[in-house]
Amino acid sequence: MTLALLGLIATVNPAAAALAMVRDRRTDRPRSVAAGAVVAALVLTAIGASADPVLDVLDVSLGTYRLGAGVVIAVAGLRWLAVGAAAPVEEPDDDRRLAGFVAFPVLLTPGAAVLALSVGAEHGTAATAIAAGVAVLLGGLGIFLRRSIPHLLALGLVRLLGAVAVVVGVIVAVDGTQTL
Amino acid sequence: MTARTRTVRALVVWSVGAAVLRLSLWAPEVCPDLTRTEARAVALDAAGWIVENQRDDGEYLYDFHRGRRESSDDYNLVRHAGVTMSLYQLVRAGELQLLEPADRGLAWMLDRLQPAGFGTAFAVGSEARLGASSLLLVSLAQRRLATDDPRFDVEMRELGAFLVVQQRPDGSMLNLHDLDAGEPVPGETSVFATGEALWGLALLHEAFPHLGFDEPAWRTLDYLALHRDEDEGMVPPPWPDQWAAYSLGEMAEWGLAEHHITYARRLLERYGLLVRFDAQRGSLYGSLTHGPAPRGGGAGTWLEGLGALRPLAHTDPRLADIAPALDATLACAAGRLADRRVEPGPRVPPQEAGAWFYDDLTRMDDQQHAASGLVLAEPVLP
Repeated sequence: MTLALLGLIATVNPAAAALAMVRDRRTDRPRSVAAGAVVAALVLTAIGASADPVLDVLDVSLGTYRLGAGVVIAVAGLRWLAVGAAAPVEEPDDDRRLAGFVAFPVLLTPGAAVLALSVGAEHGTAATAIAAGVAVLLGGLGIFLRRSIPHLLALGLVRLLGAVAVVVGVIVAVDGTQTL
Repeated sequence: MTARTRTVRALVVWSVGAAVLRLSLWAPEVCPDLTRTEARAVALDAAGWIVENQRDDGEYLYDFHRGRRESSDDYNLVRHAGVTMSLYQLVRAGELQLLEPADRGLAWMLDRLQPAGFGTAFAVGSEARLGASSLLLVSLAQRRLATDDPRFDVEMRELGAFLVVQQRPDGSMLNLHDLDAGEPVPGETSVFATGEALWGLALLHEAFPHLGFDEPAWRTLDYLALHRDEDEGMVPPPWPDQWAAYSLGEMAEWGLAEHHITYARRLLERYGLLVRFDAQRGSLYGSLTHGPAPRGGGAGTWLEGLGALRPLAHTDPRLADIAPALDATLACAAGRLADRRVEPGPRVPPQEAGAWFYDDLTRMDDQQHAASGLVLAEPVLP
């Protein structure tokens, strides 16, 4: 469960979320950010809850799934580690569009999505909801507080969490190879 | 870049990534249905290939290339012993009609026994290979279990004495014995023969508990569980050794230690990975993304390993958590294997009927491992 929590925090990467939008605007819109975070948490929880039927539809066993999921998480982490966060974009003017952008693609990353399903299959929906809730809460806080976080610190944290994601990805992939 | 552009890019990345994963690591696993009756029929067809092509003196057909329609001049004593052992496994499973051809294969081996060390070895020429004598011993043990016939007890004990001579103090086994010098050839080991010898020793102790063959058996099992993979440079470990699996299954009642159970678990996990990867070859594009299916002998050893460890997993609480998955994996592997054999028919020549081909070539051990594995898989099939 610790690995699941750490993995979801690393794959949501709150520091990368904090750097997703430009920092020169002063239009703090906590409701939109919160709405986006809630949507992201709900989607991740729903992914975790639907793990078994999704694996059935895909016709893959959990071990096979975890091998692929580990690769996705490690590749995402490597990208953060090597090139840092994506270039910031202009904050959408419309509140709904801002919430949507916060949810996807800022907080709903590929690594978080694939890990949520794995956590759901292994630990259940409640554990997925808790881990996703914590990770997304940190991500939302990162976005909301982005103007007060020192830029260099955020850049460093992006890479640090990328490194954590690489480690988590390798662990998940190896575990996939060792699942009967 | 606008938020919209980034969102669209993310959608493209997700879509392409999902497609790539679906074609590669997340390709569907296809497990053809197979019933217990069908598995037995396929195993008997494999045995039929062995018996139909057997010579009167007991020697088997070594291989057959269906493209060139010819067999090679090769022969291999270890494989001869393994094929005979497989026939006796089928006899133990109730197929008594195979006793006569198995006994002919056995007689061919007994004609080639030579003094070696403090016992005897099955060998041709001046060098004896550990695996040949080990699998001859296993054949005799399987025959004894199938028939209760003690007529070869002396040979069993003498073969066991030879195996002990090949053992080094750390439990590893030397592969060759110089029959002229009367001593083991130092330095050469075999990833196959060590496990084969262990299974022979374990069966020997089961047959003759008072002779003390359990002590060398424990030593070699410890070696396999703790040191063999490193010594032999197996990366990633463990070497998927079905002979070790047979041995663990045989020694399950002896009181396995924690490191033996850990080794059994690692073997099962390795077989699970191999079977899942092979099952992905069954999808529409699987042969392109996952390469050709393995030899019948290769896939057969996975069934043997899983099947041999199944009773241990179902009786030892330390492995209970993976017992259900083991059954599902074994059933999947059996379905995959059965699906790829050449079905016998009136127009199918005996060198092809019931066989598994790889690059148009089948070899005696393809049928051996497949037949043994399918019989062991029967308990998990409907």
